[in-house]
Amino acid sequence: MAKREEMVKKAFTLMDKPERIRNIGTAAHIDHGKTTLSDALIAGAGIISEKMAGKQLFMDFDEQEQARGITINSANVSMVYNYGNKDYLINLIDTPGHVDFGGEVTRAMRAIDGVIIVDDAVEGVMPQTETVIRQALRENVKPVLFINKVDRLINELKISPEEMQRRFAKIIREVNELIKKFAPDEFKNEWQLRVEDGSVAFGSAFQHWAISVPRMKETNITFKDIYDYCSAGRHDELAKKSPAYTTVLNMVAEHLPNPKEAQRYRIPKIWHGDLESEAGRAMLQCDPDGPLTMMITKIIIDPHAGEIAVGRVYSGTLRRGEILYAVDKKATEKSQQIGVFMGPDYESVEYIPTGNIGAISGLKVAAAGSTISSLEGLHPFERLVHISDPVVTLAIEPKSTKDLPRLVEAMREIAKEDPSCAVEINQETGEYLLSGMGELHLEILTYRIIHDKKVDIDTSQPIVVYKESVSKKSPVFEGKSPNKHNRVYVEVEPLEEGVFEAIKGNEISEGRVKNPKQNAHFFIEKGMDSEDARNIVDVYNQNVLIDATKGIQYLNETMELLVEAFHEAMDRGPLANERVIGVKVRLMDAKLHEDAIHRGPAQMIPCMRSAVYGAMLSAEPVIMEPKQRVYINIPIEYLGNVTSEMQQRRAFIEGINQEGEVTTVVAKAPVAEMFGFAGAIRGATTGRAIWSSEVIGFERLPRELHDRVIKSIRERKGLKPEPPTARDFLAD
Amino acid sequence: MGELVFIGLGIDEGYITLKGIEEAKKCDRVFAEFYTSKKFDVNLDKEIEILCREDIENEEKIIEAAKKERVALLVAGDPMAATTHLQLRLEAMKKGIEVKVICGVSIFSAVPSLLGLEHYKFGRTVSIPWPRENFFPKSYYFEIGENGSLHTLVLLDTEPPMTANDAIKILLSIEKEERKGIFTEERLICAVARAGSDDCFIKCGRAKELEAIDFGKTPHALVVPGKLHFMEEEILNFFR
Repeated sequence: MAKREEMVKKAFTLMDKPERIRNIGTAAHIDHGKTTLSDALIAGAGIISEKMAGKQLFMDFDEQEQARGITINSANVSMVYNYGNKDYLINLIDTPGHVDFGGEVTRAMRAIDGVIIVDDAVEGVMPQTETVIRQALRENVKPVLFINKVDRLINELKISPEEMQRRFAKIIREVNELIKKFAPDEFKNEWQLRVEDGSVAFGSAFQHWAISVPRMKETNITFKDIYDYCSAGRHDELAKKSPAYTTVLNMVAEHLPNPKEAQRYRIPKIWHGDLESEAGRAMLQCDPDGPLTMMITKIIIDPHAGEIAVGRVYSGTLRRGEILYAVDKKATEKSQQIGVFMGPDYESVEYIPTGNIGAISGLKVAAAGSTISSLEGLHPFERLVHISDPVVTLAIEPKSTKDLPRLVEAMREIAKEDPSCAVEINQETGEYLLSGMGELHLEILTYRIIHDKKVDIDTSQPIVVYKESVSKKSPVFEGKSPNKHNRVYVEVEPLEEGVFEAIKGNEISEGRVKNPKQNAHFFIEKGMDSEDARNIVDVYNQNVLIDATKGIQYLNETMELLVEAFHEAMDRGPLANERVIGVKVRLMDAKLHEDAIHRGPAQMIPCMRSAVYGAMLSAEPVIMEPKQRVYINIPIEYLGNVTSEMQQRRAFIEGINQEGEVTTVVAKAPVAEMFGFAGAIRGATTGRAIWSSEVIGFERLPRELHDRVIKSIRERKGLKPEPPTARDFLAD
Repeated sequence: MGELVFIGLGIDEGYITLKGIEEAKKCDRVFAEFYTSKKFDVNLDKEIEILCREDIENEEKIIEAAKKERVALLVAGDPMAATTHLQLRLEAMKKGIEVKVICGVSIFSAVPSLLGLEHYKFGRTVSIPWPRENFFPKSYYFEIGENGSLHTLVLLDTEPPMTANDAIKILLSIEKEERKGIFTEERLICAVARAGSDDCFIKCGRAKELEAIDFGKTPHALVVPGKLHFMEEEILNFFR
């Protein structure tokens, strides 16, 4: 393909010109047509033939993605586009819409500066449209809007031209409201979308045509013409007159920022180091001669090249064979090869200057979220926010025990490629556990182990991940060390809702609090009492440890052990050894032996742990279960079937909306009750339902299910079925 | 109601007192806790029930027995030198059990005697635990400093046994960080290996000299002398 080679050559020359680069992505509610749009854009750029696009789903290059027709990983494609007699290098990342894969969306947002929000003209603004807009704006990524599937509005729903325009206006108004709500103050007005200036486009990605007001002026096509072409089924003609890629890429070149512009306001948001430092200034100015700073947003395991780290260069120039520091891993490695992606193909290059999205092979330590730099002590980029912890687990074993080492390696690789999953070896049972965001996510992960990593495995039934917490304040509970020479006094209570949410949303970081007095205001703002806030020792898994003692001798050299014990207790709660969330542990007093030999780890860890367990068990401990919000689009006649299906699953129907022919049911349901839902809803609606779901967090398990759930978790873990009581931790 | 008799075994084989043997023979049951010590060959013409460390800490077994019978507990060193046994003694007293203590030779008196240092000139004793992740206390270093002109007996971790060389290394590393001049390479210190046994080994010298010496099998102990009386100085010179 001569055109392709020519484009690659042009792309290389443009990499040095940041003002000609656009790092963009597409984001949408599931099935609103992001990938179809991406393909239409790529086709225009000449990487795949125009005819093939729309059918081929070029961006969905994973075999799994093509089979399922949804996008799992965000692929990256670089292409060259000419607008206003200037060439632009457009780096396009396609992101998944299924919220089981929400982690991918947040990672992609870190690499890009602008996003095309794709919205289905028939369905309008959906809840996940809101989610992706919020995710983009949280990273200071500027949006433009593409209203897709206009052909269906005309051909299937046969609505009038006036009704069509009314619908467009409604979508634009709703998106603008979301921008007003979630954009940073300085951009709330500036980033409002306007039909007149071409920051909104309409069309059919599938039929390869799109139009915007500036394009109407250029092509003399009117809304009425579009209506006529579509009604007559003359999509090909329309696609010739106003191709999708021209309209949309014009919009991108005109309205989305180049890296130089974007980094000025994005860097302070995503990097909290000293902006006056050499690295800080280089990033703000997108300086190719400054120190190298790069954030890895994705790891791809290639069967030949090994681990390939993909990320965005924010300053300096990445060169082949250079020694690089993985700042967060405190490790040094040499880049073996560097390159850019043209769909599934990797094009090797000698150097990648700032403002580009590039790939490095040979960085074994890097993971998604890693900061790479030529400076050893660089302050790392802000952590990528994940929407939720994994909520479903599978126990996995190889069909043949000799495959065990290969399974361990495969699981390690899977976890690296997809940070929204977690792998763990249960030390007690020897089980290999794979956790993910939902049933579909786990199906895909196991498919990858079997087909990509070629390890034959058996899996257990999916197991729901529960959490433990407390529902009231405990009395002060005494813990004694085994040698009886040391005592600690602890009370627990539920963590303030605001603080809990702030930790979850990454507004408050986890880990040891270095200067509790100086950082107290972060906690006070979120509703914590100032006395507590000034004495925070540690934040761990959305729990907080507070030292409310004063002037206790030897406590300073014992505190690390108390923190270790606090972590142990929070990792394995007292009811069912599930993780604990939302608990505030307050150390009230401690009596420590003066001789260090009598207060070592073997004494202090059990001492503190039993005090925390005892206090938790005296604070009405509760089991928390993961909940999903489920969106189901159906024709109205299936409403009864759907609501009864949901009610069988302990779901709470939050809303039923009617928009044209589509009825949307929004329900909140326990993850535990949602297994096998795909098949059930297909049966209940003769396949007419389009549905999606997102994990929304953990809520208290209903009281009447408590004992049964605790018993079943404990039995599965080989514990005695009855949970302990506070009495069991009373030292004599 | 029974009775609980604590009997000190002393610091090595043969250090148990005649009184101790006599009392043990009068008991209905004899428990022994050989925690830090080597095997003690005491012939009592009756079975000795060996306890592990946890049994002492769980107390119940001994208390239950002492409620009904006369029970002896053989303890290495002096029975009240390790605070664990105070806990057990208190427990027994609270339950109304008669308690008797037969003193034994302890490391606290043996080390000063072997070195010829004045017993009344010792300050607080400190112990050095093995540093590990999340646990590297330094309070013992400062306490040696607080003892000032008084001598400091330094006991060493037993799990696993720490040598005098290990202890000197740890103290020197703390000195390097804290720089209070409490335990410098030039500081005169004493090391006693296998106190009370026939192959007991005593050495006195500067910290950096002793760091390089092989003291042989454990247990080892250190002394950091404070202000020395001229006779103390003279005897320490014999061990240089």
